[in-house]
Amino acid sequence: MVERVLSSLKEHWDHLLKEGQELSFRKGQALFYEGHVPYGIFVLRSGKVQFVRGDDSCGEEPHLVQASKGKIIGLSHFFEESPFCCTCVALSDCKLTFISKTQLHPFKMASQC
Amino acid sequence: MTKASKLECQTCNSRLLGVLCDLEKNAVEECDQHKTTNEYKKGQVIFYEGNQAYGLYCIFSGRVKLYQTGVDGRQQILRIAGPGDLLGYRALFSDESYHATAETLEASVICCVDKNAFFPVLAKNPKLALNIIKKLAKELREAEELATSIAQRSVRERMAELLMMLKETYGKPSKKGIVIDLHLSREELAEMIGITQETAIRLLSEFKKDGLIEVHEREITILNPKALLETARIEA
Repeated sequence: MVERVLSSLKEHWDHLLKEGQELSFRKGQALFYEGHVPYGIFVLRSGKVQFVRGDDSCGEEPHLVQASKGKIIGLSHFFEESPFCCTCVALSDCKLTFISKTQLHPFKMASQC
Repeated sequence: MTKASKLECQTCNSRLLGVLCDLEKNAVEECDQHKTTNEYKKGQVIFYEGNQAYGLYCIFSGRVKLYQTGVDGRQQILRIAGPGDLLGYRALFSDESYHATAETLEASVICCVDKNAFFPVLAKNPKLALNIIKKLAKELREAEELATSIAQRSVRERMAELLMMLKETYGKPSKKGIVIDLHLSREELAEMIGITQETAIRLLSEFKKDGLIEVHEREITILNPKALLETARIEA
């Protein structure tokens, strides 16, 4: 399904980015938490974020993955309506574009047809 | 899909406690379509001071503290929000960044309505706008009272005033008196009235010795509200 959405988003991508909201997060701040339903998707413009899975306190090993500039974050979770499998934390000061649920609504509807 | 994500604005009792209570049916449906609900664990941050706002948060259950961090790293708690309260609307309306950080004091279920969806709802609902103005006016009064209190009242009076305020909002009758159903740490109590943690500990122990309160870990019971009111030097 994500592939279908991606091809549909492709032709509107520049417009969505333009209409999206510029956000900034400082080092150490959480963009979202594991288990949460996405409010929209993020596009990383500068800086690095890390994805942390599991919780030390539960005895699970933290699973770290880094993402840098240009990375689209949360796309598959948003369109599949599944909760985030990781917590996303800014590894450095970051700038992102946020594309909201309302802006993505038409694409979501189209993908479900 | 989590249990929280199935919540609907149409049947939400918490919505009726806050400024969204007068929303018309179609506006409620509009909000519901564009909202996302999440369960936050204790201590998770909903938004950070200085960051840009992208939605309006509404508390379904749980409690959230809003605080600013000073240059020395000390927190000043501005208010505690509970079910039905909105978070982040000042930043949204003024198109400024958040003036405070919102962090859960306990496990909480919180809905976020996309700002792109909320503004059209607000534009079409004068009752909602009026409720928000009332809420803003109340918050402004409370902020002014806190500023006056910090400038003019002794730390003992401020702590007594805080306990009376917590009693009014979170008090529940118990066998011994009125128990405050909000378990704040000594540090958080201090941060609400601009004093140090050490001073908060000393004051609580003085109040305990004077028979005004009983303290068991984070649970505070008001034993003598009349005497506490006199200590606060505020009118009933």
